[in-house]
Amino acid sequence: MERLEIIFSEKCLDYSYSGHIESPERVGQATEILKELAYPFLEPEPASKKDLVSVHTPEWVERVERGGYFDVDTPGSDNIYDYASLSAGGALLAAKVRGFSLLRPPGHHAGIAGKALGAPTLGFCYFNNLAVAVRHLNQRTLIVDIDGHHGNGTQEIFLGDPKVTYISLHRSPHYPGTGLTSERTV
Amino acid sequence: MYLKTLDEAFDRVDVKDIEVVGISAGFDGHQGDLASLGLTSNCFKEIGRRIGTLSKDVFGVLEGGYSGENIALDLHQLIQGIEGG
Repeated sequence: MERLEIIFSEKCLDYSYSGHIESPERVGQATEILKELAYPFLEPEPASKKDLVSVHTPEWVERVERGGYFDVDTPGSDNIYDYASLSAGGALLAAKVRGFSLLRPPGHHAGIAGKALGAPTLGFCYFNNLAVAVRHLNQRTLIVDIDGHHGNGTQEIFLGDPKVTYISLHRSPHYPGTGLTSERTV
Repeated sequence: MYLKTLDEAFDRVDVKDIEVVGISAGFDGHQGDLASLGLTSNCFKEIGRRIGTLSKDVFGVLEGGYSGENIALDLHQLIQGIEGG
């Protein structure tokens, strides 16, 4: 059987924060192992502004573009936009080829205008990568969020969207303090 | 417990109404990671199997997971599960 494609770019290893667990090493080491397991790798292009504003407010996209400091969990940098838009582009390519993006930064805590549903921080996320890809596909989509944290950003973005069903299984009570019980609309 | 909850969630989804599955693939529910739910690599294979039984196109993106080795092995198991391995 042909191996599913892994979407990745070495560029996403170029930013780091001293002592931060969302480190380049976590992804760098994972890709080395997956290469040994013979997965094919594909390089993405950055997501366009049009794709980013399909999920986020233009003001939020501009805020990330300006860069600088965001919050204690999500320190940002002057060129964080380059990494965040490339990671969103990784999700777009994963959706297109039905592969898996291993780019960082992650995305599911990023809401429509940044912090989502009253969360204290952005939780290492700038743009909601998966949400950008789901909007671009414009198909009836089931999102299965198996991260140990609640995807408060993803929920904020798609709550009430009849095309998207969102399932998140997560530890509770725990960061980000949202997602305590089922919420459904439509 | 985790897999039972996932089954209950899937039971509530109208599969006929789904065209594609997008996985927000965080691996920090792995035993000992940041949001540990006591999951092992084999649990991710079981999660994959359940997603695979929906018989839809699937794609995914990485979220959390703070051990490179666990990310790789959990993702490998997840994919094997999805592909019916």
